[in-house]
Amino acid sequence: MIEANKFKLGLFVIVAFLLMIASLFVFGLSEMFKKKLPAFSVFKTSIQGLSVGSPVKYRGVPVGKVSRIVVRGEEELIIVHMELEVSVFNSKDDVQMNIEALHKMLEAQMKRGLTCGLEYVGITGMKYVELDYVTEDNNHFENLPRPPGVEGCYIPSRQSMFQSIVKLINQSLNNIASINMPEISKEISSVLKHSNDILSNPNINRTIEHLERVSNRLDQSLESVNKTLTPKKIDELLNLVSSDLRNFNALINQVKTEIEQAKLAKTSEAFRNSLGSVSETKLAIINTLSRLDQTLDSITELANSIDDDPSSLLRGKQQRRITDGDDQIKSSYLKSAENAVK
Amino acid sequence: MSTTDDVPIIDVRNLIVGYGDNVVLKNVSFVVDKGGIFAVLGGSGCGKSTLLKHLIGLYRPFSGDVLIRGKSIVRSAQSDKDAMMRSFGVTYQNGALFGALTLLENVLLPLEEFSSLHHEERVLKAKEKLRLVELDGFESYYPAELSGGMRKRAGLARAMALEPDLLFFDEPSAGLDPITSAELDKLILRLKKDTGATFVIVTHELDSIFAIADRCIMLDKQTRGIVADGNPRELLEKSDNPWVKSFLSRNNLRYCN
Amino acid sequence: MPMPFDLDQRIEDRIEEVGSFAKHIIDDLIRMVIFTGELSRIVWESITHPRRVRRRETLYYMDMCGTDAVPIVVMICLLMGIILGFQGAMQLQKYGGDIFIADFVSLVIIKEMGPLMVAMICTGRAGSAFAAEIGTMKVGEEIDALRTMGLNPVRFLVMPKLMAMLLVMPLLTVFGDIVGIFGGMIIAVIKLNLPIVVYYNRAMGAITPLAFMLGLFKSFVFAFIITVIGCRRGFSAGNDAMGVGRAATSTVVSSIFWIVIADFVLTFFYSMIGE
Ligand SMILES: Nc1ncnc2c1ncn2[C@@H]1O[C@H](COP(=O)(O)OP(=O)(O)O)[C@@H](O)[C@H]1O
Ligand SMILES: [Mg+2]
Repeated sequence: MIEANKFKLGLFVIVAFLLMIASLFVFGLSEMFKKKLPAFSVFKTSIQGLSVGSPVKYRGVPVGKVSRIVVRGEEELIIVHMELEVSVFNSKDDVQMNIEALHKMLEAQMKRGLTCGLEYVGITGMKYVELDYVTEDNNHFENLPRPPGVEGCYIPSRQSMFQSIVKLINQSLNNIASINMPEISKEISSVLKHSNDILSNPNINRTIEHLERVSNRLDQSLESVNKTLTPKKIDELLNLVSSDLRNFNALINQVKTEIEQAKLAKTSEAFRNSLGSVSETKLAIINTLSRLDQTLDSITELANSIDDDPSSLLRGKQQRRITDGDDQIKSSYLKSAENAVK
Repeated sequence: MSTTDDVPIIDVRNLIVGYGDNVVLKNVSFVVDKGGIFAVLGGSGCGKSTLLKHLIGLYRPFSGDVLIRGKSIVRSAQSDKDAMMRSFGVTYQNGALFGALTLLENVLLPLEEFSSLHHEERVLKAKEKLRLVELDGFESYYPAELSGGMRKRAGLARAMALEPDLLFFDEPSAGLDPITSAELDKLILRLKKDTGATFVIVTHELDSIFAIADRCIMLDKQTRGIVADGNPRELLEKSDNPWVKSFLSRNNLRYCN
Repeated sequence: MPMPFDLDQRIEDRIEEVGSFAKHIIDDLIRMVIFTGELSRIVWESITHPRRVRRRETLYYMDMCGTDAVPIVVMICLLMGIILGFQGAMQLQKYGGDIFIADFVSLVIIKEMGPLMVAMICTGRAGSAFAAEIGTMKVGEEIDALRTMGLNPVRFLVMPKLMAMLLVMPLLTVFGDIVGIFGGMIIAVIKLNLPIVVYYNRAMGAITPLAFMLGLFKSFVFAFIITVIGCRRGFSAGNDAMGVGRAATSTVVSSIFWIVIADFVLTFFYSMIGE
């Protein structure tokens, strides 16, 4: 009655035990037996999103993991230690490399611009270390010297695409902040007084309204930027911005000539000066605003497309063109800017 | 050790026992000499089993002492207590056989744990004990497949496995028909003759008492103590306690309350 | 007016109830610690004298609590994986995080649900059986018989159960973990159209050997809790059939309670070492 069914029990124990060992290996115990090349990189900027265990990829191919992150406060350095799996790399004649060969190969490639940067893993805010080459359009590369006292293969870091974009946006924000709005409006009102008949409706209020709206959208967009930007999308976006900017420059020039042809020279010297400065400031504002607006439109469009198909970022499956609707919004805005100048 | 003849095998001194706040027996003192059948008598629920369990050291009394062969079972350390417990056998009210083991395994259990014999010798010995209680042929039965009387006899066989010279027996004949009960009495008498062991038997069956007991004490629920002590026949004739007399002479007062 | 008095009285009663409940838990804890102390002595004895452990009983309980529980463990954990997969899929799909279903299901199963579900099943199957068994033995004076035979009931009755449970529950958890992850895969494939290989790779990437082993260690601790509570409740059961029934019931209730507490404590410690 109290006898165990030995066969059944034996089967259970053996199967469970084998499964346990097998699972342990499948879950990565085999990692322990793999040969690894210790490497490290140094960052001077935030590495937000990177953590121990984050993958290291060579142009998208997983080749290792972040093994340790050390902060050297006095030098404002963050040292990211990595372990590169030797077995992933093959030599020219398609034989597996050993540690020394891999080290040599990496050193050689670093002379050709191999650096590591931080890239986003999907929408999660997590980052991975991407080994890639510095090229023409991502050469925001400031070569930090190898810090003393650290063992391993040193791979210098590059600034990520995203960081440069953030820098640009920050600059734009600073530009906007440095515009002296009260001064401008004062000048404008004095101009208004002096030239009621010419500029009866300067629409400055509308400009300011636009500015507010834009800065609101900027906040929102920055959020989505944080979540959603990937280098590829940003490339597209920057192209878009620059082409739109070109169009807009043409428009501005046209406006400028129109203003100049408005026979302002007839009015007094002081007025001409002030008008000149106003129109320049205004142009600067409008310029900035329109540039921002383009960027924001594109970003919004990107965000919308991500909204519609969130997986696209992860899968990179769908690539949608910018819709007509966005063009309409843009042209309507340009028109209103035009009006403002007139 | 000190199993000299002048030391009584059980010496109970001023025992007060009970559960929680409830005192079941108080100031119980008696002495059991070696050899013979000693009966503890009394109505149902007057504390016979309770007394027995204190004698064998299962429970701790409120006060007083129980000496087995001159050694206190109450105040011994657990390891000494285990050794003392092994030196006597106990048969419980319902046999207390282990339901998961066959009869043979039940009897084998103490042998397996405490004897240095080979397995075959143990089996032989266990079978011999079962034959002694007339259960040969039932070795591979489980307790659940046996009748109450058979279970009690099997319990007795197990209690005797290590051949103790002191045996406790709780209600050997309770719940049995008169014939089975008489057979069990005969068995006890035979064992006493064969082994020369001392028996302490708890019972309320008068037939049993008159048939086998050499000496008895009588417990009473009202006074919570011993009301009579001596040979049952002599008590029946000589006792001046009317309650004892009526109990022993099977008046309506069979059960004390 | 009697009203305010009544209210006060009622509040007082409630406070008293809470107090006595707390006292009950603390008493229970103390008794469990004492029992565990006694058990530790026996465990130590068993380690130094391994032959003292009753092999046949141990194997029997391994069979009863392990092998016989495989079907129900497989079924429950498979369903658990499917349920987690479903819930995860519904949420993750909204954010386009379909692929993360593999991480989600496998980590939740490995770290929590696997050990916890196995513990619940074993509480119901083994823990209550232990309590009922020992309780019945107590009613039948079998425990007394053991003691008068000079046999330690803890060594005799608890050790085989404890050994069996400690060995068998982590093994059951291995089964539970694997089928749980498989259950998640079914949903990932059917509902989210993820390729099996993708699910497999992500799940294997998400799980570390340490997390897996820590999950199994949880099972080990739960096995200890279930056995200790089940046996202790059996030993302190009332001397009748109803007492045995109550012992079985309270085994299940307090086992679940202490399992959840232990799970919390373990999870907390695991989080401190970063798992
Ligand atoms: N485990 C116990 N807990 C509390 N009271 C008990 C217990 N066992 C017996 N009693 C009480 O002790 C008294 C004596 O019981 P017991 O010794 O079993 O009587 P009996 O003489 O029939 O064997 C009874 O009143 C019973 O209620
Ligand atoms: Mg009794």
